[in-house]
Amino acid sequence: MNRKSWERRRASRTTITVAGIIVAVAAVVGLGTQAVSGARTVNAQRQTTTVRNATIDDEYYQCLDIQARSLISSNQSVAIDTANLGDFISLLKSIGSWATFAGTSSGADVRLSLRAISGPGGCRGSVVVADFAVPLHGVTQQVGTGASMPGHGPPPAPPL
Amino acid sequence: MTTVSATIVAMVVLSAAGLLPTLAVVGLRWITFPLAPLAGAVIAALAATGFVAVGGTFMVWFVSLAAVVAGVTALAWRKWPNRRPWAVEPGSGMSSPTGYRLFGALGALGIVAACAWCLRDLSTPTVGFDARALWLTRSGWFLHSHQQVLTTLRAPTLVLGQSAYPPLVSAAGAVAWSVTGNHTLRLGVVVVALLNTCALATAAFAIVEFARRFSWRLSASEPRSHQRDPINLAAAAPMVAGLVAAVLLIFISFGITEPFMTNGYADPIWSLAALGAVVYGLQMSGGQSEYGVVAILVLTAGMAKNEGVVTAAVLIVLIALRQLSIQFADRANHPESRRWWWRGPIAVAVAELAAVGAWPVVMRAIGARGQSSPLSTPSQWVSRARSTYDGFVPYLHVLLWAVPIAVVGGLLLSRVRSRSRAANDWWGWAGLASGLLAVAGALIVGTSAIEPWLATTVHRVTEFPALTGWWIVAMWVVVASGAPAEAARQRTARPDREDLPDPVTAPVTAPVAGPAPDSVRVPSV
Repeated sequence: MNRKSWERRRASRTTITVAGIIVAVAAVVGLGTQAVSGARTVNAQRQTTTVRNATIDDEYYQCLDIQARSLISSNQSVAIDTANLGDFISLLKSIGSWATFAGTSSGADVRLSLRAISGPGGCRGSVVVADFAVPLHGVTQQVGTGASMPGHGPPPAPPL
Repeated sequence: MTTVSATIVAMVVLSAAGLLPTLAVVGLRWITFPLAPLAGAVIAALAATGFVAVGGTFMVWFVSLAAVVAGVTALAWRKWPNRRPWAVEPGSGMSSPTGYRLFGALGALGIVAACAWCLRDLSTPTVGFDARALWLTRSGWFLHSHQQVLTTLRAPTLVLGQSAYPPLVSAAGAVAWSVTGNHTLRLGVVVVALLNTCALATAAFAIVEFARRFSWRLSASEPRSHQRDPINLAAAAPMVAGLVAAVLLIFISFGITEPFMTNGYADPIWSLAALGAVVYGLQMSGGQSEYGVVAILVLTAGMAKNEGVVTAAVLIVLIALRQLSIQFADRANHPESRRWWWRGPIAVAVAELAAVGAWPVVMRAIGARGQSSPLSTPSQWVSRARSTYDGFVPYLHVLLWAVPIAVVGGLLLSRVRSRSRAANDWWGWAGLASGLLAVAGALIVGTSAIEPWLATTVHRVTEFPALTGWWIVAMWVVVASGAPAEAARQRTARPDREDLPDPVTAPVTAPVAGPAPDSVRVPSV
């Protein structure tokens, strides 16, 4: 091997070593910084406010679920009133996984909606109302029972 | 049944359904454990597709499909005994010195510990908005009668078009509810969080595995006097760097995906599974076991959410192209290889595309809600593209880190990267771009008001490109940490040891090492 070639290879080896160290250090610094930020995000999910909001959210939909179950049986077809999209979503989130939905609103045995009330008996100020297509014991409309929750309005919205 | 015991039962059932196919396509490796429940979830998603398309009940479909897959696996092992996971012979390419195996175990332990630390978030009883309104609501639908599920998916009065989204998360939840009798959203959320974590652990372990192989390769080419050490210290740098990077990636991933990682959303699972497919299919050196991992992960991503369908489809094509390019290069060195060498990768890609595309086709066939998506006019595309770019930028700051590192690494460390047998970095970037363009394309050509759409989704839909960027950085950490050892090796290079076969991906019948002429150096494809 001549001297020129040997020096070129030595320079190449030095370049590789230096570049490797620089790239490795820069990348580890980036990874480490972002990992610390990630650990903070993980801890934020366990803060008191987050836990309290999650608990309220759970209790609110549980409350609506119990009221809806007091109004409909599993073999009755259900439609949810779509006049108020917010109420529709709240009811869907409460009963969506177990209710038997009708193909059309007019074909449903029961149409469910939310109604605002003041005083006890509501879930944060709302009760589930059922309108029956065929009167049940002479009743065409009934209000849900079995659960209540203090407060007003839907719980704080979880992150979308 | 309590949530904890129900979660254990649900994960055992999903793992049992997925274990045999995972063993068949991946073999017995550390990642077999997190991949088995993911494969079970894929079977659940296929069961949901069959149930909606044909009839019967969801659980009969799930049990039948799991039994069929297990039967096919058993038949394959009977016909090809050398494919059995326990059939690896001592001295084959699968074995490595104890020190290196121990490092693999340490890596697995580090990843599990980091995941467990992050999963403490499950102590907060959060159920995400979409999880409650859509993903776990549909779990209940799958447990209804066939006629009822059709009615529910079609009924215009239910308004939500998203109920036609791919079924994997809902189907996994339905299995959990059915086998435990615990129909709580909490159980669904915990099971989905564990599946997310399985996908993350699989992707993170790729870094440990890659680093371990690189260290072994560097060590194996050292002079014989150095090889007497259980682990060559200079060559061990990539292994240590890989372990550290893999653990850091767990925290990074939870940081990027929380709170959705632990509240039942479907975005983390498609993002993490697609990420794993990029790592194993487009960054690692390739091999039969690697492509088995890829198959499970692309199906997981493609059956979890619409963005996952598009991204998985592009990744399937990219990975098939890479496989074909590897086989083409290999064929140039081995002219005696099969004439129809290209058929395997193409057949696998077509099968994967068919599986991923099945649910959207079924939704269209049954006339489900939300199937017609109007497109914005081309004149709106410019402003929508601008808004999309502005929306994405704050979530993709990783690119400011990853691009310079990749450029410097590509210019100065390409020889080291080639030595590590990692794929050319362009493949990883192509994978990142595919996910980015899939999501950006949907936002640009869609008709929903772009600003509110971005405000409510951008942090979730950018999870995949952001995570992939960090994995690209991590790969460079491992490659760069091997640079000093590689430079030292060049000083005392032994040409006869340049081309050791890959310790894991080489055919099991191949010798561990053998003289290879310089002309067969494998390019970094």
